[in-house]
Amino acid sequence: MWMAKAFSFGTAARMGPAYFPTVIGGMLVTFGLFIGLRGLVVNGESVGSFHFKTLFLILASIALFGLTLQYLGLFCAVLTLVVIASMGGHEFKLREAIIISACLAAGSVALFVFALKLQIPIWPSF
Amino acid sequence: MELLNNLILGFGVALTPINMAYCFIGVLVGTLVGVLPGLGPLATMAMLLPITFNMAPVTALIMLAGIYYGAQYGGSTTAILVNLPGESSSVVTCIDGYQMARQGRAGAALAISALGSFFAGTVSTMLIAGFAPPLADLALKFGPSAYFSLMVLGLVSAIVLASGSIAKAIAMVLLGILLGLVGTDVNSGVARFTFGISELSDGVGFVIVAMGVFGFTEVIVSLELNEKREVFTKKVTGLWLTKDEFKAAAPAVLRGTMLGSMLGILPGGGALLSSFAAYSFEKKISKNPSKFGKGAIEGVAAPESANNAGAQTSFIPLLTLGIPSNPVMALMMGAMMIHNIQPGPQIVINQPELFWGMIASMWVGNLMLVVFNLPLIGMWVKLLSVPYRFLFPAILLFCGIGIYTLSYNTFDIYLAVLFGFLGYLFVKLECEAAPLMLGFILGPMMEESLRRALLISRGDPAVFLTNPISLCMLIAATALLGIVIMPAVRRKREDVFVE
Amino acid sequence: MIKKITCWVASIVLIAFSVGAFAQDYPNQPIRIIVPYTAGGSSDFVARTVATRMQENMNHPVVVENRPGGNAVIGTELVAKARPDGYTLLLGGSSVLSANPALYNNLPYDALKDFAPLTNAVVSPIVVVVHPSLPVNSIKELIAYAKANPGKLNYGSAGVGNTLHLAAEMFCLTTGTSMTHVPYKGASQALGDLLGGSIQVMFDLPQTPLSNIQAGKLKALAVTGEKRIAVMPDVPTMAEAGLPEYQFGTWIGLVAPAKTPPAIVSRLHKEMVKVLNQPEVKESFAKQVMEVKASESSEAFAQFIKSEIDRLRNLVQTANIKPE
Repeated sequence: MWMAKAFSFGTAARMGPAYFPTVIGGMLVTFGLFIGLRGLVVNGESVGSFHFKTLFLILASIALFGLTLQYLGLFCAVLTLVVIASMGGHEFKLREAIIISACLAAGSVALFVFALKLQIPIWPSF
Repeated sequence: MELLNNLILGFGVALTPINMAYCFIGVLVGTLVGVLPGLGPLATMAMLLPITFNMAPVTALIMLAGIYYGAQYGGSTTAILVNLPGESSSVVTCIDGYQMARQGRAGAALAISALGSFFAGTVSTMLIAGFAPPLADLALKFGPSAYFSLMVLGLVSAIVLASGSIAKAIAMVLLGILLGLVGTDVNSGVARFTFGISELSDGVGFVIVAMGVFGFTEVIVSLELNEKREVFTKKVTGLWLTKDEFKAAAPAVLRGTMLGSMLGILPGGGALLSSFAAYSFEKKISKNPSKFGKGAIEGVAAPESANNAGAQTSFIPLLTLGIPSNPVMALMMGAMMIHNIQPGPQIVINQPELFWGMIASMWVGNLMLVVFNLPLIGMWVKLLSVPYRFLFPAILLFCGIGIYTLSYNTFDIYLAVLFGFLGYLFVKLECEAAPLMLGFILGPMMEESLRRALLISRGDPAVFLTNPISLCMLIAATALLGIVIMPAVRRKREDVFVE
Repeated sequence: MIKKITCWVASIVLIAFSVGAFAQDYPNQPIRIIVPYTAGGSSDFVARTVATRMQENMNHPVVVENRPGGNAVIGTELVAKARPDGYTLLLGGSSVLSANPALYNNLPYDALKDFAPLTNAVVSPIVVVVHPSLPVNSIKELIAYAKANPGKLNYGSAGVGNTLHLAAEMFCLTTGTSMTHVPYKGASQALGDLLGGSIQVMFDLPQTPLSNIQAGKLKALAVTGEKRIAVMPDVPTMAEAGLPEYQFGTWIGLVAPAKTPPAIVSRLHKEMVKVLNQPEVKESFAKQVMEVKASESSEAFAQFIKSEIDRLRNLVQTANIKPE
């Protein structure tokens, strides 16, 4: 069974200059319903399986990157990102992950902050 | 032979050692920046702007221009190799370019990308040289109603873009439009869909959506496929184009160049539209449309040439009318102001060596890019053979940093994560992301033009039909829509008959 | 044992030094000037010029950061909420500090309370340009035409609440005419449609349409201000054209977050005024039709901003201009 999602297809359009969004939103809802119904009626392949672990780990790693970046600086953020993201992979060896993350951290600090002079905090700000 | 004299003058300026040096620096930095996802030419040019204060004006402009079109080249590289559009105009290249890479044809994709771009650069440079003022005047004739119809045409071609179900493509386009509408409305200044979050008051950035939907999703999906990932790197069959590929690609390059040159002149994102339009065009006139989306070389050649042609011709409105057609051009204009140059119709007359010098150096820059990039193809392909478990954290990292450097705002990173999740859903539901991106970019512009046109015509919708350009666009759009829907409808009927 | 003590002593010394560093004289970190627009505009130009010169004079890094977006609100809000330590400054102009507040009630910053004004930098007049196809050659003719065709003329602006928008509205109010406002995302876009003829009038800063005026593609009818502009010597002032009661100018100045220590405020004021009075600076601004007009003191600038906000608020209410 298809699982055609009409979920986000029907966000309520805000008021105000809402003419256009309402029209578009309406069209979207129509199409969403159409696809959904068709999915129910026509026999199609089922949706691919969801690998929640991978999904979660990868997305979490990036979100944590953002979080640590703000408070702990680039170096720590890179470490966090790489280690957690690697856990989402298949061959996870902690030591390997740490080495790579250290290299990447050093490399990105060198590249982005020193070479390109971007304003990114490197170390935690206390 | 005034044109020849002017070109000689121009090359005289462009080929001085110092200008060549800075041109090289520009394209080098540009390529690097294009490869790094997130960091775009605009930010880089802004960062390097202070350095240009002490240079001669021509040199400064040459370097900045080099960064701009260098970034176009770089953006294609990541699009092909890791399905990450480095530039908004590289989104289309992802579709077939990445597929080619998966089939071991990354080298060919990169090669045709570079060559096509060079060809496009040459042709568009000549166009600028010969026809800049009349082209600029033509661009001016595009009033809001014409723009609106152009956008409609663009969106319809987005539907053509999709290889899967038409209904889903339309839905994705609509969703993209809705996403694009988040932000402050031009005509009234009111913030829409922002849920009170001030970071959203300027809308969701293209890069953020692209990183999420393309970049993060791709990593997650690839990890799911287990060892299958390793397969295509082993199958790398040569770094260059086969004769057949070359023959197929050449006309595509030509068509893409034409389309790109025309669309690039239009202020306001013409260059973006050119790559999408070129791709759709190729697909429609191809004898074998089903191969698009699975690694058709025309699907790389045409958009790449188109976006490079568009990037070059987008200089025209700035140089001839003093109107920047996109934020990058606005920055160039600022650079000119800092050097006390007034961009506009007077430049050609008052400072011909500046005008022609820049044009000549564009060609020189393109040449440098080709010479520089082709040997690098081998290196890039080697990069693909790095075990994925080392590669993907790096990809995520560069995406993350790239997003952060947009506005130094971690909120953007979270937003991209959200889009990564959405992208994953899309993949599972077999909905394609490319139409979404196109809707995202064109939707707001379309709405802006629509309301502006209606405002000027005082609410009279006939304005879209009375303006000749607008009318042509709308007819083309309807025709295209018809062509797209007809087969689907017919097929349904056939199915019904069979039953 | 000795090692451990050494470690402790070393760390204490280091900490002491870092604390001491904070207590050191200002400035000891790079000073950032935030420009709430993308790089390349006139505000950006002013900021970069001032920053470069200040850096030379003070022998200390002064950098410009562009934080565009949200009609310049994002960058402005950033500085409004920044630490008042004198390291984050805003390049704010009439749009951000007087026009926006006059028009919108729910801005995430308060133009008067959240900032400690430093000094004004430049002022710029406004020029009225029309498309050549419009059969008017002077302000008086424009007014007559507008009165004969109420609401027919379209004028472009750089956005709702932008000074160019309010300048036009004030014109309409002063002359008793009505024109239809067509907003764009920035003056350049509006200029494009003006050249194409979709809109017929524009109230703009002089340098944007300058080369097109010189090339004859646009007609300049008049400029605001007391005297004619050097680069447009044939264009009369409003007073000369018969409309002395209409005056509108734009200004660009620098402010710091409120609660910045007065000592730092006056130091910055001094440095900036020094830069602004340098002849090369005056000249390069003049080329962009911007006249240097440094405030005598930060308080004078504060007064100026307040009076501007009041004036524009008055206009908004009288002319009944609404965000939507």
